Amino acid sequence: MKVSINPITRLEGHGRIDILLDNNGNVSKAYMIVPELRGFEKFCVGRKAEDMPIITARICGVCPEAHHMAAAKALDMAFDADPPKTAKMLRELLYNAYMFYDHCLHLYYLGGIDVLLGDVPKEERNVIGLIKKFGVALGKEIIQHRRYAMEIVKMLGGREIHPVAAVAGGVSKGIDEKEREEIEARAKSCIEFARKSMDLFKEVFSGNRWNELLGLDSIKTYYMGLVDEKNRVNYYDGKVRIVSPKGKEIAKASNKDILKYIEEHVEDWSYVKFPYLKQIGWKGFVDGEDSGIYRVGPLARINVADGMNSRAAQKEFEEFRNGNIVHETFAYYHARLIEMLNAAERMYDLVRDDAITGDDIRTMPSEPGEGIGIVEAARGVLIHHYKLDSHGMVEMANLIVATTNNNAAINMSVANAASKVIKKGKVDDVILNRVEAAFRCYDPCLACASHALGHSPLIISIYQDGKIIKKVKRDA
Amino acid sequence: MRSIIVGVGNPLLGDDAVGLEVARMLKEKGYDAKEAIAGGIELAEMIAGYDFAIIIDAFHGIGIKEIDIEEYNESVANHDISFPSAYKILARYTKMPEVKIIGIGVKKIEVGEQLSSQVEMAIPAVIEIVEKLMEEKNVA
Repeated sequence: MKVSINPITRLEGHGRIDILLDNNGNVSKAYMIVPELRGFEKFCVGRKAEDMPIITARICGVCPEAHHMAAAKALDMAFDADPPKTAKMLRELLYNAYMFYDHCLHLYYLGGIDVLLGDVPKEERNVIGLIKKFGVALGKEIIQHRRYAMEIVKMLGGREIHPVAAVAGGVSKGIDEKEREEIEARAKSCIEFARKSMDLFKEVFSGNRWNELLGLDSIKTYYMGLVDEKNRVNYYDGKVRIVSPKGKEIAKASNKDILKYIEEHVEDWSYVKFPYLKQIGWKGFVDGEDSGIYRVGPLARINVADGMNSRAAQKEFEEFRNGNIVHETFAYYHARLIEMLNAAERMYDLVRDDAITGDDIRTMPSEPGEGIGIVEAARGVLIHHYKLDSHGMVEMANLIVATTNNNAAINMSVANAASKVIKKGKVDDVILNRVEAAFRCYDPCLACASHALGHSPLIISIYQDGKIIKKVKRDA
Repeated sequence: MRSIIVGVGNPLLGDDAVGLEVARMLKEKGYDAKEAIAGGIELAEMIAGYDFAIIIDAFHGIGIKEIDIEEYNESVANHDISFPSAYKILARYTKMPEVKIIGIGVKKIEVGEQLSSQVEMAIPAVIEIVEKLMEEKNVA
C-alpha cells in the first residue's frame, strides 16, 4: 500500500519522519528530518542592529514574540543598556501573554487533541471534534481567551502578532491607567480559563488511556530552562539552569557563558544539528547520565525549577513534580497546562504592580559590542547571539532555536513511540497518529529549526525493503 | 457593510511579500487594509466579525487568480491549523465574512526584500480587481 500526498509549501522541502521497518515489519530505525534553508544568519549580516528585533521576528509566524524579545535582549547586552524596571515588566507582561496564547493554541487546536480526544477517526481529530465532545461553550471560551492574550500583545507590542515595541535598552511604548485596567480584566479572565483547562485535562490524566500515552515514551535526559533568582520558572529572563536526569544542578549559566555549555553534533542525514552538553559529551541517540542529550520546553522548565512564581501554578507544580524529575514525554502537556496558568497569573501580578505604568522605559544605548539574548520560547530555550561593528551594524548573527535544542530528543521519542506501536508491519492512521503524537508533545516549530522563514508541513513515510509502503502528510 | 483587506506574506521572502505591498498601497488609498505575516488561525482571527474580506497572497504559479477557500492551505505551519479549518471553527462561534482570496503568481520564493519586476507589474491589475470587488459590495 502506498499513499502519496503532495505538500504545498511556500518553500521547497518539508519536515519528514522516516520510519524503517525490518523484515518482520518491526521498527528498526526512525528519523525526523528537517530541511534547512541556509542563509538567514548571513542575511542579517550588514544590517542595522536596531532592525534585528523586527527582522528576526519574521523568521516564522509561530513565535515572533520570542524572536523579538531574544533579539532585544541581545541588543541590551551589545549596547550595555540594562532596561529600567518598568521596561522589563512591560516586556515580561507581553511575553506572558504570548506564552498564554501559544500554549492555548497547542492545547486546544493542535497537540492537545491527542490527549483530549484520543484515537478518534481522523475527521474528528480536530477542534470541531473537541467541541462536539465538550460543548459549544468551551469553544467560545478558547477563542475568547486567545483573543484576550493577543489583544494584550497588541496593546504592549504596538502591533498584533509581530510586536515592534522592544528596543535596545527597553521599550518604545508604555501603558496608561486605562490600558492597565483593560489588561488586568483580561488577565483575570485568563486565570479562570486556565484553571478550567487544568480541570478538563486532569479528567483525562486520571484515566487509563493517559497511562498508555505516558508509556509511549520516557527518556531520561538532561533538562535546560530559564529560572529566576529563586530558581523559579521564568520565560522572559534569568539564568539557564541545567539539571541531570536525576535532578542535580550541573550548571546555572548567564547569557554571557551559556554557549560554553553547548556543542553541536552533526549527522549526515540531517541538515539541523544536534546540540548536546559539552561537559557530558555526545554518546549517540541514547539517554541517561552519560549522554549529553538535553531537552527544553515546558517539561524541561518545570524539571529544572524549584517552583513557580505564582500561587495556583505553584500548587500544581508541587502536585506534578512531587519531588521527582518527570521523564515521560507526554507529561509535556501537563507541564504546558501549569505554564498556561502561571502565564495568566504572572500577567495579573505584573499588571497590578504600580510600577507598570511608570514612564522610565528606556536606558539609552552606549557603544555597540557583542550581545547574547536568551528567552524561553513556548517550545524552549531560544538564543540570539550577535556581534556588532563600531557603527552598530551586525557582523555576525547566530540563532539557536528551541526545536533545534530538542532535535536529538525528538528523534529518540519518535523512534520509541514508533517501536511501541508499529508491529509486524501493521500501520494504519491511528497508529501513525500515535507516532505523530509523540512528536507533537514538543510542539515543534520546523520553520524555526530550519531557519526556513516559511511554513513546512510534515510528511511521514514508512519504508520496508527500501520501498515506501505508506506515506501521509501531517494534517492541519 | 464592514469590509477588510488583508495582504499576506513574508517581507523577507522576496516575491512572497507582494500581498503585503498591495495591502500597503490600498491602505494609502483609504481602504481598511492590514498586513499579515501570518496564516491559519491568526489570519482567520483577523477577519472575524467583518461582513466581507479580501485576502491577497502569493502562490507558486503564473498570473492572477481567485483561490477557492478550500484550496487556500499554503499557510500550514507545524504549529498552526489551516485557514479553511480555522475559518470553519470560528464560523461556529462568531460572524465570519464572505471571503475572496486573490492569488498573485510568483515563480520563485527566496530570501530577499525586493519584489521581482514581473510581480511588481502585476500589482496595478490586482489593485483594480480589489477595488472593483469592493465597489460591487458598495464598501469603497
